[in-house]
Amino acid sequence: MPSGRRAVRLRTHASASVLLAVMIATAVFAESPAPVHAQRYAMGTMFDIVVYHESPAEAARAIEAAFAEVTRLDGVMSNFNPESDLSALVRQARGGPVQVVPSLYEIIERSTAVSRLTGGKFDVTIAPLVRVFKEANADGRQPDAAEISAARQCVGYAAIETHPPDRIRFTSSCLDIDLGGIGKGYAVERALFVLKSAGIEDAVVNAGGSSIAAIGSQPGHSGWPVHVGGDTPSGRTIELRNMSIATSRQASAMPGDGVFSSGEILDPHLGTPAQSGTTVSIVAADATLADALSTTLVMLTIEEGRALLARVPGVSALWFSPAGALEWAHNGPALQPRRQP
Amino acid sequence: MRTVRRTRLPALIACLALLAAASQARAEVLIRWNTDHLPSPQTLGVAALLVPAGNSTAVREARRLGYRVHLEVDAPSLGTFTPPPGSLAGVVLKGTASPEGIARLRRQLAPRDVALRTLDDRGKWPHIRTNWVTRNKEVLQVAGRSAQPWIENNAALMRIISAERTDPPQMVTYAWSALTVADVDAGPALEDYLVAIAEAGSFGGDLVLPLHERLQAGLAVGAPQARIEWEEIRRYLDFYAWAPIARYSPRANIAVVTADPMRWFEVMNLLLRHNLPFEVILPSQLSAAGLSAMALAIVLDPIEGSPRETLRDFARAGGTVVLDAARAPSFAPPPGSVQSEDGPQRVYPLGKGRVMGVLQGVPDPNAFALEIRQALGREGRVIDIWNGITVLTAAYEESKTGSTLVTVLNYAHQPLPVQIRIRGTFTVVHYESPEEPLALIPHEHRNGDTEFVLPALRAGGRVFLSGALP
Repeated sequence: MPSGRRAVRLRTHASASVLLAVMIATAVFAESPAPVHAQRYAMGTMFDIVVYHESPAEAARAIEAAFAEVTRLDGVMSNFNPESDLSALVRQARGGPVQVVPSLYEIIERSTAVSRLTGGKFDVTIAPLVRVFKEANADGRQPDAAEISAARQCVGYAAIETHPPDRIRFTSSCLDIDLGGIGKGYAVERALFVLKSAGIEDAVVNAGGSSIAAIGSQPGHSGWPVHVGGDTPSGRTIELRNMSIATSRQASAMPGDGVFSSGEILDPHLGTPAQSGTTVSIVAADATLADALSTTLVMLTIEEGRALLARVPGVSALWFSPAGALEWAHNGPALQPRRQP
Repeated sequence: MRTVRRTRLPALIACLALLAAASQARAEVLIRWNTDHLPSPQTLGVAALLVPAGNSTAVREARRLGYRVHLEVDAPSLGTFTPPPGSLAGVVLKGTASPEGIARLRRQLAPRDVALRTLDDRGKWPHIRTNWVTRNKEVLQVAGRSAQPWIENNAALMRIISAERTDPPQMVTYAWSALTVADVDAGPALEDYLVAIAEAGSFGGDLVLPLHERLQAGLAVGAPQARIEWEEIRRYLDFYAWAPIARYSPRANIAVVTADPMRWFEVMNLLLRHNLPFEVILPSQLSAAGLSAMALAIVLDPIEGSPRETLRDFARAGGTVVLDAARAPSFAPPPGSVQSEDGPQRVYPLGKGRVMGVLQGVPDPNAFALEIRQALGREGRVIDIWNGITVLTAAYEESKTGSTLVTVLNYAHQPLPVQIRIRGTFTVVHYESPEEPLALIPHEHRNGDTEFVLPALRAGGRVFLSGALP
């Protein structure tokens, strides 16, 4: 505890520092433009885009273009919409190579790359298994072993053949694709690309909180503040700058499509819902990879997750237990998470 | 003879209750105007406005232009308020006033046959909650797992107000809450107004809709953008001004029994969020007739005496009674005759029905709503929706013909295809919306249900199902 003249000096310094900080903050905010923000429903969630730019009109135009890209990708990647490019691919690729739009080719190629990286723990061909659980749960029951076994026969990313630059073929007659574990990350990445192409330097794209990517910073910050960990004691804020964060946790229900009583993240190796209650956040420059890895790490123990991340440069992870305990691993961005004041 | 009278009396009470419920569903939308300058009623296409009594300029101008003026009176100023001479369409009291103050106002208004209503400002401007928060110019993103969008809505509040049947009747209102500094100036977007009007029309709530000052200023001078927006808003006002739900009764098979509905607001909010239609019944109003259309009764407060016996009779006749786990065994003797146990939930048989014990106080209303959904099973659910997690529905029925009306409401601010399955085999399905005239739509019958797809639901619409097969 400082005392006497030193304490007075410290107080004076502290007061001066506070005054300086206030002056800087005031100057920053006085000169900084107001945020331009818009939100749009797509891919079953709400997308938010916030942009700081000297011209609000240009920012608004860029945001519209970014949303147009997200909406287009929804039309490409949806497995609900029978008219989507993905649905057409699933119908046709069982018969032979099918030419697809570049974005669908890219997301499937990147999905299979993550499948190889994770030894098949992440697998977009999980769709038949998802369907079996959805249908059974809608009838108020769990699928039986025979149903699960039959669905698992159709799961396996190895049955996807990609032929550059834009052809895809399935070697299984019952293969189906669900891009739910990676699609939002890809859409966020593409939206950010559109914003950058329009000359935007400070922006964040938030897909329902589960995939967030940012460029530049918010005025007065070194990046974009993002709160992770919810209301748990470990909840804290990290700042994203030219970086993304993806967050996953096993859900107990999937309302609107019947009751999905066991959770929506299914383990393709076991054919059952992941049992973890841990929330996993992945921080990486690549939003698509972050999305896929956050889904994957929910199915792994923390030690298995660490081992996986050791093989993926540029990626860091945060694990929040249901009780609020925090663990993290750095193999890329130093998170230096700080608590919310 | 006595037996006949006993049989008819509950039916008569039920009919009266249904009529009362139907008459509650007026779905009136009253536009609130608080600035001094107004366009003419012909320009606005609206005959009545709500104007704050404290803004004498606006009141004078509105009356001069020929509007039917409703006055908004703040409760604290009630003591000094005297209804102005001349024509007055109604008075809407804002805030909590003493019973004496209300009685005095009633006496003042009675000779002029002016309606008195109160304003419930616990509503929220309907919207989908975003995953970020702002403080001044600071923006904080909130990361979390993929979850369904959280819809801030007033459906439960409107249902509760309808059940409470207060006198004077209540209207719902809410303030616009901006998400960013820019939003403060811009005010609600066009789609925000449309969803607000459609919500009141769908759930039978009487709404005071405040127009943002930007829109008022634009309309007062005839600004093109304001006129374009108003044309759309007016189309929705016109569409929902005809309120067929007033002829129908809510089609619900869940009774929520509580003396304090607002205490259990989140429970009801989540039931509606999962499209589980319910009717709020006060314990004092509980009757066998009132429960006759119900499959399940959720009892949220301790209950004794004759209401308790009514519920036991309901279960014996095949219904499901849901109440907290500590009280469940005493409902279903012999004590301890557990039929099944699944996690925190215990089920006790009683006659042809059952009693379900759930966690005391309903700590997780979302999980509770899902439990109720599961307890009803596929056959017990009135309505199911696919690809519509931003869509809420309300079902109504006409007891005489068996026709059903389903109101659909999309909070997403963009047209979505919505697939709906409703219990019952109907041979004729019509759909109309502010954007589309009434037309037949294709449908399918499956396992006693009628399924159809609304190709592009913007904000709101109505589905009429008739020609029910036995």
